[in-house]
Amino acid sequence: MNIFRNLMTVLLGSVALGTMMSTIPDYNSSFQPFAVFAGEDGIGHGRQFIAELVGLKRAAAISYMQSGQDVSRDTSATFLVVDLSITGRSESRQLDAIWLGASGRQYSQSARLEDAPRVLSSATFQPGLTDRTVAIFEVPEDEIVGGTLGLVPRGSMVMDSAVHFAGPATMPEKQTMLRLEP
Amino acid sequence: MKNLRWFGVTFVLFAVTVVLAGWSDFRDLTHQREWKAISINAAEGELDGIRVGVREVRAAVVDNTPDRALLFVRIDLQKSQTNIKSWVDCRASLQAADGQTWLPLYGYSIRGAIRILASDGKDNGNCDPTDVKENGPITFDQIFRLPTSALDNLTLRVSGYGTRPSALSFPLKPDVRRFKAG
Amino acid sequence: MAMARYSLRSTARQIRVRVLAAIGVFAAIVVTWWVKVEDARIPDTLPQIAFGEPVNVGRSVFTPQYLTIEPGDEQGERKLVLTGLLENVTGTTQRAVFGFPEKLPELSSGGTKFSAPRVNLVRDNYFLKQLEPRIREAVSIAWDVPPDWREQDVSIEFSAQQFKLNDNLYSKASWLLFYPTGILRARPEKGS
Repeated sequence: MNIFRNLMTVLLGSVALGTMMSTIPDYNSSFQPFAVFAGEDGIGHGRQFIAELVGLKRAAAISYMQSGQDVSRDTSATFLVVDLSITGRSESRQLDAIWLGASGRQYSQSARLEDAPRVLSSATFQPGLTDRTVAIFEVPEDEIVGGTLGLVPRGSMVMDSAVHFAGPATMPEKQTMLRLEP
Repeated sequence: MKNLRWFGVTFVLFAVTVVLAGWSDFRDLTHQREWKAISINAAEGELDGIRVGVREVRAAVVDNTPDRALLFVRIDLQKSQTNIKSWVDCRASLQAADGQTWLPLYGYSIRGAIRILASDGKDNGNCDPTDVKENGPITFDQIFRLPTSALDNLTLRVSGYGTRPSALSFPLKPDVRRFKAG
Repeated sequence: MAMARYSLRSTARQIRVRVLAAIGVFAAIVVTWWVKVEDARIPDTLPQIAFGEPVNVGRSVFTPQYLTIEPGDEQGERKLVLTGLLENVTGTTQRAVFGFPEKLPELSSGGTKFSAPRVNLVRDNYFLKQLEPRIREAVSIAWDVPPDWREQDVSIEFSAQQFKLNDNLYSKASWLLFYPTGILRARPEKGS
């Protein structure tokens, strides 16, 4: 009887310990930015900015003028062009955008287009001013529907907030060549 | 009664641990924030061995975007003592009454606007305290982008990494120049 | 300590427990020693990579397609160019495609030392800034060839950075040391 009770105690203890060990969130999942979801109107209120998702476009190629020359970029997947309208809040800030694809993969803005006009990676947002900007991602087609857009302040600590915008319900129209104007 | 004493000891030790563990982070925070702003009503003020003078303040508003303005500020730095605590860097920012802060614009293309707004058409570069001398002031130019509505109640804050949390605060009365687009 | 009288059963039990413990320790020592002997007896050979075969380079998978000698940027210079397809197999956009700090494929031929190569995206004819997951791009890896090198067989060694989902320090995902994953031996052809 004593042995049985001891054994039960040990067993229950190990079950409790096992449950706790297997359900504790690990470093990777606990060190994520807090998610702030944008409203139905497409406007998300972050701690340091207010952002509105104006529209989404798809393009097979993008061209723009750079230092007086015409530059064209093509891709084997698709360019996803996100139009944003961002108002700064409290301090001048730069932002980063991430496309969380339908498969869960994270796509950063395309560095091949970092010198394009009005692109998010080179824009600074001032408090009180609203600016239109463009975030361009290079993604496979099936990552678009079901994906979400995340905006974070650049250089912020991991435990800051990230504004999430719901992605498109249907595949946006595709243009063969999209021209970006300053 | 004895338990209460132990509680007291625990609390004191806990407070000491928190202070010791967080001391370096607190020091980092003081180097970022400008908590102790020294209000200067004249054109010149001194902080930690460098005399800062605000020489020119001019705002530009373009007709077709009347809600946003560019503000040009010319300051000069002069060493006022031989052994000074190092400033390390120089941050000139604009602050409104409600705490909104505008940081200067960096980038090659914006320097053209400085040359247009400056009285002598020259661009002296961003504020940098490394080469300040005792015998004469060195001039620096900064440009900011902010809403036109914020131009009424602005202060210019100048501080360095080594001086923060102290900063010099100059009230600004910019004269506004209107430009026609195109 | 007073000497108590021990029953035969309790002594047998004590001996049994100690014998079991000794067997356990001995088994642990033997297994460890055997694993080490096995490791030493069968040396790890680098897999030979042929053109068209994928090789793991850590964060991505590289499939070499052809190796050519091309004229360099200046007169009289040559460069050795390995062209192939590169695919990012991680879940995020990678800026450090060959690891960080990066370890690019190493070229060795005839005892000559070659400097680090440049990785170009063939599509833009510019250096590779980043690679998106699930998008396979043609890249070219170019080494500058010293003028005294004759045309001969070359071997290119690929390494991969080890990934651990829960590392030993913080239990966070991290990229650790490099280990070799393959070697490509080929003779370069004359390029255009």
